[in-house]
Amino acid sequence: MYSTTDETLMATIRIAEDFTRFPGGRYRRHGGGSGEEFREKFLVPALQAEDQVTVDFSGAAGYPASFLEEAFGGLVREGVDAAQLKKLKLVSRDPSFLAYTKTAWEYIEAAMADADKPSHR
Amino acid sequence: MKKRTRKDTVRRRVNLRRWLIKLRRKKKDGSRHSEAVIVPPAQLSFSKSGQETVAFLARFKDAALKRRRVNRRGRWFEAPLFLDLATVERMSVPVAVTLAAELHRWVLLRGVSLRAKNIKQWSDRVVALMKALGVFELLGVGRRKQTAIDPDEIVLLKLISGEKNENEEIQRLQTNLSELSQVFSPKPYVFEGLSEAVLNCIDHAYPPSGQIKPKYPYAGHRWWATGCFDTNNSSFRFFVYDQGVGIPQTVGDEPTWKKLVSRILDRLGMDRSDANVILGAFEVGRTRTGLGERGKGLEQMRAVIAKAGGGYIRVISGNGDISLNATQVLEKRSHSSHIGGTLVEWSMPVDVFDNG
Repeated sequence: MYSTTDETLMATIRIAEDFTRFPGGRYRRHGGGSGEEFREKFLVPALQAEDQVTVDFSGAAGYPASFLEEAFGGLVREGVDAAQLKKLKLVSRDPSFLAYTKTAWEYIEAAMADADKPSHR
Repeated sequence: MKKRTRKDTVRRRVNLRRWLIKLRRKKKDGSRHSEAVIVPPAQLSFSKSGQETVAFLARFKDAALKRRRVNRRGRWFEAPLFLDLATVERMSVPVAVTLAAELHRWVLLRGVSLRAKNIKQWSDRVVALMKALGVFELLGVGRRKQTAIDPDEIVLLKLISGEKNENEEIQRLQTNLSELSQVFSPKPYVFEGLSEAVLNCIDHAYPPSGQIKPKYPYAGHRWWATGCFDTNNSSFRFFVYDQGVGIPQTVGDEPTWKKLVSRILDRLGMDRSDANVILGAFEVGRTRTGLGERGKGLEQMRAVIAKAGGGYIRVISGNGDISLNATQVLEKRSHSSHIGGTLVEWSMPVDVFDNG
């Protein structure tokens, strides 16, 4: 599903090549290429199995906010802890997609802040 | 005088009898075929003749989607409905999109095509718009009329529709437009804005069954979308439409949204008109306060304009109709009645795409 290097236990997920060129909505019920599907099929298994997980954003048609928030912010809501999140490296070979790596981190941080709130369910 | 043959006499008798039957039907039912014909106004435009346009669409939906049955010689039939746009001199693209979506809903719900009437008398612009959107295919009408309109004058893509977030289809609007117009090139922010608008249709436009009884039946949680190159204004325009309850109703039904929008409207000293509620919903999207992971869609829809560096986003929903650019409200108006859904339009000047 994604490329790994055994010696260093590194995985690289190229969203456009390994998952979809057309990232979709938040949940699976919204259709193919959802943030939920990407998180469950790629991010969570890779974070559990590897020491470092590189996600490459380049080459997609674009990234709807709902997709990004559910894929990356959803990691926190699913219980991925800070130590596991440190394995995550968000990159883009195409400089015009670098902004999405920043947005994805913002969603992770916002989800962590929400999780820290006492009223958060 | 030419002698009448027996064949001529029989034909004359048959024709006379047919004419008498038609005349009798006309007297009985008020119209020759008991048909329902909704006459549209000369100008169909949400901006220039909003009241008449919204009223026409409402009458059309009443006739098309509420069954009207007529009794003929003791037997009940569904009254035939015809689409006759011969009286329309001017039709805007947003109205064409709305009307095409209504015709699609009719086909989806009834499984039969609505019949078109007097197509030869339809104006060139109306024929060109309907043809480009794929309405004639929906109506099962062949190419009956050549238009004098240059194909370059209206570059309008075929209306697409779905019940899921079919992003490959959505992106195809951009690729198709770029093939038709050399100036345009697909942009990630346009893809994102269209995708978020489609998600809003799926998630929020249609309340769960039983919660609110819709005035007209839904054809699923469906969206429609298209794009065009407007040569008159030198702009690229994209549209996403749904036939749901509208943003004002959705906000009113969701306690968190309702509270946040009310707070913003109070702060701005605005009443709760539909246009103001739509504006408030955009402001909530911008602040994101209290919505947790949600509420980012509207902001991303507006961000299309900011990232393009020009143009506007227009949202017609419920009775409200607002146009915004990246920083301010450009126009705000109220229609006399609900347009029967939500239409989101982005318009971006051609020159923002000049650099590829």
